[in-house]
Amino acid sequence: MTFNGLKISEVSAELGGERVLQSINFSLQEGNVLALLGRSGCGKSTLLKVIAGIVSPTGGQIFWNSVDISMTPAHKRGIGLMFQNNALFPHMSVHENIRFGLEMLSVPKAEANDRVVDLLELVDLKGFGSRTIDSLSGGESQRVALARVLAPEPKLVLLDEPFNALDRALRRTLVDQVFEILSAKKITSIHVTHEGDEASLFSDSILIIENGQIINEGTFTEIIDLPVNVLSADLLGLRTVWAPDAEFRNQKWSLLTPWGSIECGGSQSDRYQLLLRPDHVQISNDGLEAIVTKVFYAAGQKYIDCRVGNIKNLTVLVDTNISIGESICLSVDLDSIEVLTA
Amino acid sequence: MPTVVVASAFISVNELLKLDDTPLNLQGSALGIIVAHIFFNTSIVVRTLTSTWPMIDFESEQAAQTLGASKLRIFFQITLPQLKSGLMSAASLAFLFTFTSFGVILILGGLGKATIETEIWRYATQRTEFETAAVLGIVQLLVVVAMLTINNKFLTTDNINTNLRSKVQYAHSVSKFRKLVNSIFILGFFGFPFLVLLERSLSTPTGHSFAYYKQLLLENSDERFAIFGTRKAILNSLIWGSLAMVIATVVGLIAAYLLTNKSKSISLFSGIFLLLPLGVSGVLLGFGILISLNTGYFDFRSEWWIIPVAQGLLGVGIVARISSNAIKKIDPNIRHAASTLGASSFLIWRRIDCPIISKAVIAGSAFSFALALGEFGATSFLVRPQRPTIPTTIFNLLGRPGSSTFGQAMALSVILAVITWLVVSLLDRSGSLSTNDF
Repeated sequence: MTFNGLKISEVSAELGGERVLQSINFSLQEGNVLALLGRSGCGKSTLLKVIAGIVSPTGGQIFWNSVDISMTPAHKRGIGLMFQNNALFPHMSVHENIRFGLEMLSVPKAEANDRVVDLLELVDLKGFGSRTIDSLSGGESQRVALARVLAPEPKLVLLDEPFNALDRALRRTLVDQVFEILSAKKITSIHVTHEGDEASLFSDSILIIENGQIINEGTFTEIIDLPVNVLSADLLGLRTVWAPDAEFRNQKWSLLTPWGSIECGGSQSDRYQLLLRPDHVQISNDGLEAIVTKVFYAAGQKYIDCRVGNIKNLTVLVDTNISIGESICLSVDLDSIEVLTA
Repeated sequence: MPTVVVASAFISVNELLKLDDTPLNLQGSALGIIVAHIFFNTSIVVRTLTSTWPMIDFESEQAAQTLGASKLRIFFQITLPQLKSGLMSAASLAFLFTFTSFGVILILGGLGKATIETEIWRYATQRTEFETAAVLGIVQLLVVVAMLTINNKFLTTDNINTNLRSKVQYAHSVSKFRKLVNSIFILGFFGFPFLVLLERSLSTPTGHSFAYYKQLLLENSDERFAIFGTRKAILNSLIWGSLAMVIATVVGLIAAYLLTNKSKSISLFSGIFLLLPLGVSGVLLGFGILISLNTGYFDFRSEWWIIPVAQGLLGVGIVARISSNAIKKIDPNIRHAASTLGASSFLIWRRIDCPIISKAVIAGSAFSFALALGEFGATSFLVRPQRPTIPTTIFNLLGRPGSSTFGQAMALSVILAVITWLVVSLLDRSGSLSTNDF
């Protein structure tokens, strides 16, 4: 049966003799957006370069609509890649940069020029065609790079952390704009990021990579509801995660929290950490004593950080007036503490 | 500037100021040789430092200032250490150029002030003791290799913080007074010998005129002065210089691509076998051709084309260095972007690499042309009396007694200086010159 979209099967890759990708498997339905999350150096960019054909895999296969494209050279794959530093051609004008991909497809000059004008309008850069690359601001460069990627109408667009260098406000605006355009044109895309909230905005699915291996995959809701491991929780901005004191007895781990112990199975070599979400902690008179160390706001909501037992910074969602240094009592339902693999 | 021009300029200063029998005599003295080489090499040091100095981390100097450091302390403890690699690189190049200097020492110093370079020439051409010349050549080669290694080490370990803001701030931090003083010094030191050279070229027994230029360019105007084929020399220099430029550009560009090859073994191999032998002086190359291409079918010593080939080979190093620097600076992502947009390897080279490195290649070519025009070391071994070049004609004119030949030598030096200046200033204007390319 034909699968419409991208399918990665057992892909491995090496850079400078070092293995950076190990048996990667995933698929992406045509028209969908995948967010690729992971720490710096985990292999995200290499995976994009392997898909684009810039880096040759040492093993595995890449399929598009069930056709093996593993051996197809980069310039014949029809996959667009937007680089972290934009990689605009410095010796060409904005118009020439965007027209480059169309020239490679031998699109007639007049038609190519019209399409460049349309794309400049699409990315909100009408009238910028004759500008030189060094005269553009960071945000303008990003939009030129996007227009250049979109010009040849690629079947798949790969975005390698293109918004990293921008300030928060511009970043948010551009992310919105880019994914509006991709969504309107129903373009399949993979977006590398290490911002969990950014991934939640546009992705149909998420893939988390660590040391060249996929360690978690699913929709944003699935992963945020059940992060499974510490890195997933960390990348999606979940708090509070801590390493508890633990004992291994009768083939079971006993993880000690200030509110009691949690039992979990596994071998002696396993390591666990605990997750306690801010809204799962209650302030009550019969709880454990905690000292407030910080008061802060995030997304318009008030939070406090407390020191309780061996937890240095336990984040709690609050709606009352509490100040730093105050002593409060916190109670927690042990079932709401999630066990994550470290 | 070509060595023969610098030597002529200092001879003209010596003559105009009548320094012959004074302690400041510049002709035939070590003082003259040293001053001429300071003159010759200062531009290399200035070029290197003017590129590295504005690039140092200006904020580290400000940080030292806020921590209470005086201006002197900031210079010695913060600025100077950051300039170290640039200074050492420039110093090693200045040593190398002086160590392998030929024209200036031969013309200004005469036989009384010998160096390894002039001795190789003397043993090979005057005394035909090839063995002694070869031993001297090997000693010189070892020193050259050592200095090139040192220079390369400082170029590669350069860890100057490139902060664009610091450039701007530095530009404003130099006072107008200091700029004026610096300009007067530079113009005086560098301009004076050339002004004197120009004056001497116009000074005839009957007053100032273009008589010597006329004699050079219109030889038949006065039969008495038609000693050397100077028009032929100018034509030869221009044609051979152009051919040398083509050879240097083609070989240099191939060398640059080999040097920047991803494969470390290819890059190292080409580095050793292409650039190392080309770091040798013109005299050594000329001597090498003289003793190696002298048998049977390979006896090319008397062929006219061996001169532009030798001059071209001497220019390969500079073309390769400038071009490989430009190639290295191309962001690999730009090539990858072109590839994902549908460009084949050939199209990436034609549409991306070529336009980006074109300025550097033009700069390298023009430099090799200027080098070939002024080349004296290798040419002095290979040139025949019936096929003169500008530098060999200047040398011959200076070796003849009489005010007329001296005036013609000065005039021909001015012509060579003007051509060289035109080439270099065109490069500077086009922005093709990068100070890190030396």
